[in-house]
Amino acid sequence: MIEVSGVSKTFTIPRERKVTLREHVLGLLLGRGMGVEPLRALDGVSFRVHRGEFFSVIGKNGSGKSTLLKIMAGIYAPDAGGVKLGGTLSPFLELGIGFNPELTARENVYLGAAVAGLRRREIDRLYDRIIAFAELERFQEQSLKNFSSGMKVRLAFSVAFMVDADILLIDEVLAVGDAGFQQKCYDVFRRLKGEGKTIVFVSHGMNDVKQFSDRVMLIHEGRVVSLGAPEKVIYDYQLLTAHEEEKRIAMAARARAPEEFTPPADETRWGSGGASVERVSFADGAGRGKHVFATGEEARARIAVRFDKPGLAPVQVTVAVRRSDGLTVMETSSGPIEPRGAGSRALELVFRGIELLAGTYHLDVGISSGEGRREPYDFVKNAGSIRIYQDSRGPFREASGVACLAHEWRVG
Amino acid sequence: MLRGRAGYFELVKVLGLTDFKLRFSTSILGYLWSVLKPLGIFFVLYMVFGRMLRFSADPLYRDKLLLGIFIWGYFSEASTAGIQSLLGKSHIISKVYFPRSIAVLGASINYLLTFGINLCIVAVFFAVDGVGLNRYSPLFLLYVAELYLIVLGISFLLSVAFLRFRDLAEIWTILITAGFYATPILWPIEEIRDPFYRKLLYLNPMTFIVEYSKRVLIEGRIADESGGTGVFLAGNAVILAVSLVLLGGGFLVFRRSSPRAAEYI
Repeated sequence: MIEVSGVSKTFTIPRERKVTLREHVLGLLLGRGMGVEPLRALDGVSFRVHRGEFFSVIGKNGSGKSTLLKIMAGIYAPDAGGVKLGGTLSPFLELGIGFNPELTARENVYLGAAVAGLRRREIDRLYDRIIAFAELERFQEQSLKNFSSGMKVRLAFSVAFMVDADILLIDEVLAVGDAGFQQKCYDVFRRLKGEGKTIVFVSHGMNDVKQFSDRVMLIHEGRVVSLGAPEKVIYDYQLLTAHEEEKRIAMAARARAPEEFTPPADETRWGSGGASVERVSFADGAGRGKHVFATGEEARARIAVRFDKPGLAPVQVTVAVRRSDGLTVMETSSGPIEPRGAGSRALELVFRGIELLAGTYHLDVGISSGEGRREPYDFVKNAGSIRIYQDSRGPFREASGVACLAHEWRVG
Repeated sequence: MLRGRAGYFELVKVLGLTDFKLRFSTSILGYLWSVLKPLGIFFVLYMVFGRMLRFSADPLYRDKLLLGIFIWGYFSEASTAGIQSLLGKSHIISKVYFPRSIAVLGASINYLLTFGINLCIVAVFFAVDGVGLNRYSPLFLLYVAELYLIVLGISFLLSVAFLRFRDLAEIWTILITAGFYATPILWPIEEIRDPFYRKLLYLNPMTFIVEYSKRVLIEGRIADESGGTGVFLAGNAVILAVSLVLLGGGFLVFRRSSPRAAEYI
């Protein structure tokens, strides 16, 4: 049905974009020449899509998905290789192609449908259905500029999906419209699938991809990395992104100086004074300051407590670990800590092998009187943050959730 | 692709009509402006050069001036729009495949339509001055056709280049202004006595088109001042050749460069 064989595409991106003749001439005169940077968007991509298949293409931003779709639609010409289509094609790369705000809804339907390849007779026949699907019967003669963005999207969607082609190319369109309309769009997807249309779908929404696709293809840096059953390819994709995220975090951890948090004096902090949280920092098992840890690594939170009032009774330090969405993972309090005159004491909260899974975690630190009615001396929200990643070669690479509790499997 | 020839024809029609509608939909006088603009220019130039400076004793000077201005007006507007046609449709070109020539054709047809209607206004002025049809009048249709081919050729030649060199718009404006004075619109060609300059002016294909249009429509003759028709026929061959070469060359350039049009946007 669709056969893509050995498609390559390189864009030449001017180092400094030269738009006017003067810039070109100047560039030549100053010897900067045609300063171009070749960008290899696609590199020998080959695959087949069968008749009636729902075929999804996934990949990170800039992986070449959209370029591939544009080449399949004939908008870009490939440098090498070719695309064979066994049927009529409706390229649906964006909603509302050709729409003009000055024209009425009716005029825009005719314009959009003509751009999509319909003839006058077919548009006449489909017009009422298009308007009804968009739920815009009352606004047919109003100009598009007076429409809300939701109304525009509905109109555009209706026009696009009334086009009766064998092959549809769809680029990320489900992220639009309210929930009700989205449901309608899913119904259209199912209908099209039922009618045996061949659909090529590019998306970031893994749920949509999983729900509709027969097969999925993963593109990375212009190459096909994985192709097959949705579950398998989506898993490969998640592995790929996790790996990249890990690399990025690890690099950030190396590059940045260990963070030290000096608690702010604002509404995120309260208490009666007496003792205060002076400083919070983090270190690994060897005592090197850092704030990015792998799951299972030793992590230490260092808390400096200052005693501002002499003759204070022993205090208690409480630490709450919260995930970035606010979930409290744990809360723990120290035993009584004797003040040492009017000065500071350093505490360490040691996690021998931190069990948290990938994410950002914040620490709230509080100091209260150690006995009686536990008068809060100082309470600091977000006194410090750490980032956790899961090493893709380590034992926690496939764990998911909040934390990986120490466990083992026994088979009887 | 989803469409045969008929589908593409539909697209040319819809794009052309939409542009036509949009060109005038936002102004109060709307379409009238496409007539009022050249008419306004005509009245200014006629007052200055026809009445005050008395460029010509010819009683039909004003008809010739009017015809020249309308022809030139069509040429300048249509060629400018043609050159910018791909950029003007960039929002569609980067999203949908269709033969890129459709954008150029749509723009050219749009202006041809306006020109056709404007010529009716010219006819009214002619009627007032007693300029009627003669047996050579149909030749004018040939010149309109050739003019259209020249405009189309220029559009094909420069519309892709314009995507990359936006300066072309400014350069073209200057060329159009220069061309207006290098074409016998304001001045009668007979007034150019120096044979060198007269030859030089005939290097401009628009000179042929404007001069011969005036001759066949207003003077009703094809013979030149000496009475022979040989020069006239040769001149016609030149226009035909120029228009065909421009169109052919322009189209070849366009065919080679337009597949990359979407990338330049």
